[in-house]
Amino acid sequence: MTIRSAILEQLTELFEEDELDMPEFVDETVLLDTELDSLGFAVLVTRLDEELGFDPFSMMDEPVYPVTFKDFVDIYERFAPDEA
Amino acid sequence: MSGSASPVAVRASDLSVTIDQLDADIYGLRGQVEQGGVASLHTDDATIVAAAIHVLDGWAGEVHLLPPALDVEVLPAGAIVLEPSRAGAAVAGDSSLAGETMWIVYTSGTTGAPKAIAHTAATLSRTVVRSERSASFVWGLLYDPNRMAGLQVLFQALRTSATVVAPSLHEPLSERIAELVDGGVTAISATPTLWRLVLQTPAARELELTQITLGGEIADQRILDGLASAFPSARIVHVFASTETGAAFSVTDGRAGFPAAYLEDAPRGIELQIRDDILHVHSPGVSASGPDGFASTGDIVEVVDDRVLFRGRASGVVNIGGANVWPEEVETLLRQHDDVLEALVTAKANALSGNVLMAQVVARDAVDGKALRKEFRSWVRDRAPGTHVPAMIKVVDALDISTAGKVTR
Repeated sequence: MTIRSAILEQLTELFEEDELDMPEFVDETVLLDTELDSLGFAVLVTRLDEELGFDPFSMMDEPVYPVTFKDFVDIYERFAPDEA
Repeated sequence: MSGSASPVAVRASDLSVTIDQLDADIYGLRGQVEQGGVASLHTDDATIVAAAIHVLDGWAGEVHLLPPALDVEVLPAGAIVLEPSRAGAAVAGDSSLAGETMWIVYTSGTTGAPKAIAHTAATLSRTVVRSERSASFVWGLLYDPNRMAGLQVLFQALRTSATVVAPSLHEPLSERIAELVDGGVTAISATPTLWRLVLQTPAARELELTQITLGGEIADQRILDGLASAFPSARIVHVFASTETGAAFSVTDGRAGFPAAYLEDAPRGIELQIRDDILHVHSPGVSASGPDGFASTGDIVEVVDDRVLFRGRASGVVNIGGANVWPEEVETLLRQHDDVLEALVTAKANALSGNVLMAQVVARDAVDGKALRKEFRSWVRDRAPGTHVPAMIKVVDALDISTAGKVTR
């Protein structure tokens, strides 16, 4: 599973659990325009940490705030531990 | 060995000791410590702790009570490590008393090193009521006898000449409950966490309890109601006390929290004050009290109508997105759900929101985890601000419980 698809899976689950309207997530989707609030993103990051085994936001020296869905995915890809 | 005429004081899993045997210092403890001296006792055997109370209170200066395995670095230099031995027993020493003995118990050390708290017989037995009723109790000991709560039960029983049935802590709870049933136990003191487990133990239905005491953690309405329905003839007392302040006061009306009137009208002379949302009790005899004699209980409280309700431990507050959240409040909410037997909520650091809450839930029936997670999160969301909704909810078989009977955080 790619990082992008893992993120999408967790997003879908979270939107479903919280009974929010799931938009189509494309590269340009602005995160704050979705119904997920900042707390929701904290929840998403926690779940991705459990799923992927790392939390890029706790690893970065300078805080980076992703604006679009692509920014978010890029951050995870950049901090992904090197494996095979 | 005789002693059959003397009433049984402590009935352990493999040994019963009578009052006469305790009087005769069957473990030979008194000869090991000088009058006014400092000693430490490392045991989780209730018969040995009872013997120590019997022969050392008023003789030793300080007795430190520790679990068998705990590191002894915390002990003062020169402390005699007591070695209970049935062999060299029955040398009753000088019977004169040195004065007040300090009983030093150690907190579970959930946050770092164990903390020593000094008590006296007076502060440990402040809730003791000497009545015909209490003398006829047979106490069941589910607590570790070297901890505050277990020590209180032993003091209570010895002071009222009641019997204590004390199954070994190393046995599973179902077997310990069976021993309490066999021993004819009528009174048990336990934490709400332990009581929830007791109610899940089939043998518990055979207990004929007339006295139920809850302490050590927040007693929510649900556990009070559950006990009232399982043991309709029992008097249910929830005790508000902490290791830091010794025995404090109790409530018997079956409602969570305590009457707000207690803030004006001190219950049994124990003055209460709320300072910065934290409950303080007037407890001048203990080491943790300030110059004015008030000691912090560390419990965050809130006055709701005619009731003072507990929100959680001051040390346990979690900042989530700028809001203060007490994990215990979320646990209480989760336990109100019919499918939840037990819940533990902890904090996990998060770069975006400061912290998030992580919940572990013991569900009534093993059902689909995903569906339950959704159900439990929306249950909390419908009843509390979004900051209280756990980020993750794991359905587990059981929670870890400490020897003090509390959920391990």
